[in-house]
Amino acid sequence: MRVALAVISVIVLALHGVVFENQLHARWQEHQSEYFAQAGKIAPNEAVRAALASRKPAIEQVIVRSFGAERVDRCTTCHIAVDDPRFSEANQPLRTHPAIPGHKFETFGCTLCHDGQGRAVQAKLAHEGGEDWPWPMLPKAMIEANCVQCHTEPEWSHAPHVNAGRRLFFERACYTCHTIAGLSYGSIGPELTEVGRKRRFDYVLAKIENPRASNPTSTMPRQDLTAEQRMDLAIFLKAQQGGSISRAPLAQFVAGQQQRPEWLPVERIVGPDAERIRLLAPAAQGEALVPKVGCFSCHKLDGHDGGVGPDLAYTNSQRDQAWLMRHFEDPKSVVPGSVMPPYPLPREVFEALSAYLLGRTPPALPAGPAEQFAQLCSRCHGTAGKGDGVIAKYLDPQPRDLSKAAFMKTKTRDRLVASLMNGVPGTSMAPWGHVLGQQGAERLVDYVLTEVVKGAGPKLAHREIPGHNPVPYSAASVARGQATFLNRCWGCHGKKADGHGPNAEDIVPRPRNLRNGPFVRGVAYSRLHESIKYGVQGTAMPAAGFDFALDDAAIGDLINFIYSLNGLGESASAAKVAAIPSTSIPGNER
Amino acid sequence: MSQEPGFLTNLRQLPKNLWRSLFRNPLPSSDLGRSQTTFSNFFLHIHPIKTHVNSLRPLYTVGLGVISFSLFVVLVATGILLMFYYVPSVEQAHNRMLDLNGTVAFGALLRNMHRWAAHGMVAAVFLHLCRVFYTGSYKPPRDFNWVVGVLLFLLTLFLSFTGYLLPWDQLAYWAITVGTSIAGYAPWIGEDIRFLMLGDRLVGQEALIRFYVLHVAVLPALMTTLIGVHFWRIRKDGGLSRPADADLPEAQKRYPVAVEEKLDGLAPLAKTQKTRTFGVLGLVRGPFNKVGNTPDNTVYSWPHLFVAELFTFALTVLVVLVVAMLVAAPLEAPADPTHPPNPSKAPWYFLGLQEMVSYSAFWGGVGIPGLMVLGLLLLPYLDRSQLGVGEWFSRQRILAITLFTLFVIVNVVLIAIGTFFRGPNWSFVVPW
Repeated sequence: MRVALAVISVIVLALHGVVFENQLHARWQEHQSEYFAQAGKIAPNEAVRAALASRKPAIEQVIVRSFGAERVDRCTTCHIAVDDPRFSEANQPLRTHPAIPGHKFETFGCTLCHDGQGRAVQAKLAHEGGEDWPWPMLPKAMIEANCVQCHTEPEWSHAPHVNAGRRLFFERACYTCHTIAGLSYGSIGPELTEVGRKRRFDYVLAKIENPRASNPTSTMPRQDLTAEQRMDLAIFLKAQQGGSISRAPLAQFVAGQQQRPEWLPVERIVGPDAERIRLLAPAAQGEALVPKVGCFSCHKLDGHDGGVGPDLAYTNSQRDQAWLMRHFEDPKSVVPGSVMPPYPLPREVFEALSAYLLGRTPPALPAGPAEQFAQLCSRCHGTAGKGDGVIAKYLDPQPRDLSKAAFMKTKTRDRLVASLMNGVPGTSMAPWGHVLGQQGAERLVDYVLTEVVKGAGPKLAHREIPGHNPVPYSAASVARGQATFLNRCWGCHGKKADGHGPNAEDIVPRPRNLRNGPFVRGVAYSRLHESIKYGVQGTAMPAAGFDFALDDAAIGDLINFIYSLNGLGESASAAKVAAIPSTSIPGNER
Repeated sequence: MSQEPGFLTNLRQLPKNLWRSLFRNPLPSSDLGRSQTTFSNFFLHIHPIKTHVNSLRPLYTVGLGVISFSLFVVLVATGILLMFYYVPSVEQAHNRMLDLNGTVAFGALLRNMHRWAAHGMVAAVFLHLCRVFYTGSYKPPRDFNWVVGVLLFLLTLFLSFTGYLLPWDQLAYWAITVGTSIAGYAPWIGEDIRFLMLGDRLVGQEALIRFYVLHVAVLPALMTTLIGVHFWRIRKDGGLSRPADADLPEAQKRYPVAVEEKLDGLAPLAKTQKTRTFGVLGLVRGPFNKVGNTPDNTVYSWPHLFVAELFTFALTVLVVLVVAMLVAAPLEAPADPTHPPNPSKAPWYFLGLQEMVSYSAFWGGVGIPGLMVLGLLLLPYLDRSQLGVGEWFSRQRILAITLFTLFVIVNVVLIAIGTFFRGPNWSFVVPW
């Protein structure tokens, strides 16, 4: 025991020796000694040489008080020759800093431009600031992100990366979701006003490269950018540090209080080209604006494909001017589950974009239905029709799995053709009738039914479906329907009837959003009644008429409740009569 | 008549007399000297003159009590030094951390030692608690000392928790936000407790100064007092627990061997002999004070106990020193109340609570932990059987040991899940 005690005591003492040695002979002291020695050799006279020889290493620091919060920069403790022009060829840390007119070390310090952790006097700690330090030293090319904190004039020529990044911020539609105070007002994504101060550069870069890198539930679409473009965008974002340090606090306060404008000036988004574009004809204006305002960051058109939104090439045979304008102003008013943000642009821009999209000639249609399916359907429904196309995850409701026989084989051919021809209102399913024609649509449906659907569907018994609501619309009926809904339906459809009930997460396809006004208005009464009474085969929707013993009157109440959610009320329930029988019932087919 | 010493003689003998007055006794070489040294030294007299051999078995105590106390000593020493630089202000605290890490002489080492010793103390105190349980040492007459020990464990947690906020970085800010929110889940008074701790609705300057005062004054004073009580009770409750048969039968008893004593001018006392007489000591209440020929298996504390304690202390210092030299204490970005990291996690020893809170705020944050603490406090009054005392994992206590082991495993597993298996949005992640 005594021997062990002695050994341990000696080790502890020795470790103290190491600690003292490290403390008393720091690297910065060696750097300073080396500087004194070298400067002594080239000293002009004996007096200077003697002064240098008698100088002892000491911590040097610059306290910067002119720019926001006080900074203490001790960088010159090692970089002691930054203002000694004779050391321009020396090795770091003893090299001269290139002179920048008007930027004195004693006023600006170092970290104001370079970042890093100014209080440390160990190279690694000072440069990287430790694992979680938000401002590690910037590589030379990125320093402009800090220059523009003071040099706020737009398109400042010494900040090419920041300028390119700003253009990308608009071209890639970042501005529609993100707010940068004074620049954009999007409210879908996180505010980026202070992102450059709060986040490390590498975090921002990784987030641009893969939005889900740090947050697996991010809905931000991944952008197809080159490495240089990502870098430009990251440098631009690094420059967003929440108001400029060169501005007075009062000016920043006033800027922060500015009212959110209804739309952004086109000049801010397009840049100096705006004047030229404004003189063009509407369609030509639209053509020039489409790549500038961010359409390509999601949509497909000609050679571009953002991989998020539908193909715009067929717009002129699917949508009219009124639909497009409503959609531009508020996409959710026509497709409630749309991920497209409302565009903060003036009405003239929407008109120009509509004119361009409606004036385009759609691409030639391939002859065979297989090729047609590949060109028109697979972007959403997937190449095998399983509802897993490249943009499927951004669509709500998600595209139907066309290979599922339980669903496809229990619907009449006419209903499928009608959905294809007319589209499904309130969803991303567009009307393809003008593109395909009646015969083409039927051919495509037949192709899907024979080639895409796998297996046979279940046999269905005879169904009795009232053509109109047996219960007249009334407040009492709505109340009864609501009671039934809160008893039977909310587990999947959610208490708000928005399709997000507690069970919804595990259900594919997702439960219908019953607050989707365009959809509820767009389908016949009999289809709603049938879906509730007999369930929807191929989905999780049970046959409530049997499972929950709801009679036709109870289902009528339920539908009145759903109508009340979508502002339909009395006017709607009376009129709806099914034009097409929606389910194929054996022995009842046309 | 002896001559009065002259001034010059006094001057010549000054060092010797100073030494003698300081230590009273020469380095002991006899049992009498060993007794007197222990007895007359302020710092040693908290120990008994003789220590039972069972208390010196390294595998019996694992030295955990001494390790915990050694860590406390290290924490007090490094903490006082850190106080010279620290300023409990939201504007300055983080900058002071940067200065400590980067520029202050020995600053980074002190900070690292303080940080790792604090984490180590939470672990060591808990392991000490486990040792005491598994050897059945909480049973009467040591029942109240167990209660003091549990209070010391809670104080250790609270000291570590209050210290966690002081660097004022993101880690600190959000850990304390989470930790104090857990306290807010207590029914009726939860929000008031939280407000009392923070002095505000959010963690801010008021919380920082409160935590600072608690951390450097209130809690250490309480801790020191309770440690004193804890040590005092060990002596008064009959020393460390030991098995009933730890005292040898008469035939194998070891008696101190009489040796030629160098008395160094001290008045000779009675030679150590088989029959001893006790004065006041004989009247001291307690089951283990021996009078006459009762079984005896003790050795002198000097040197046996003191060398062992000093060794444990030195080993603890060594480990803290090595860890502090190799691993830097974390320091994240300055606290930013508008920018919570995802996930925000409490300090590791509260992550079991946070994990439980993710299932039920009341039960996870207040109900179950409250029951756990209450159970620990009441344990010696609920389990008063004298079976298996002084024996690790006694088979006679199979039920108690199973239940306690379950308690330990559940807590360790919950902490491990909270620490390693929880990612953004508190969703389950696999750490490899």
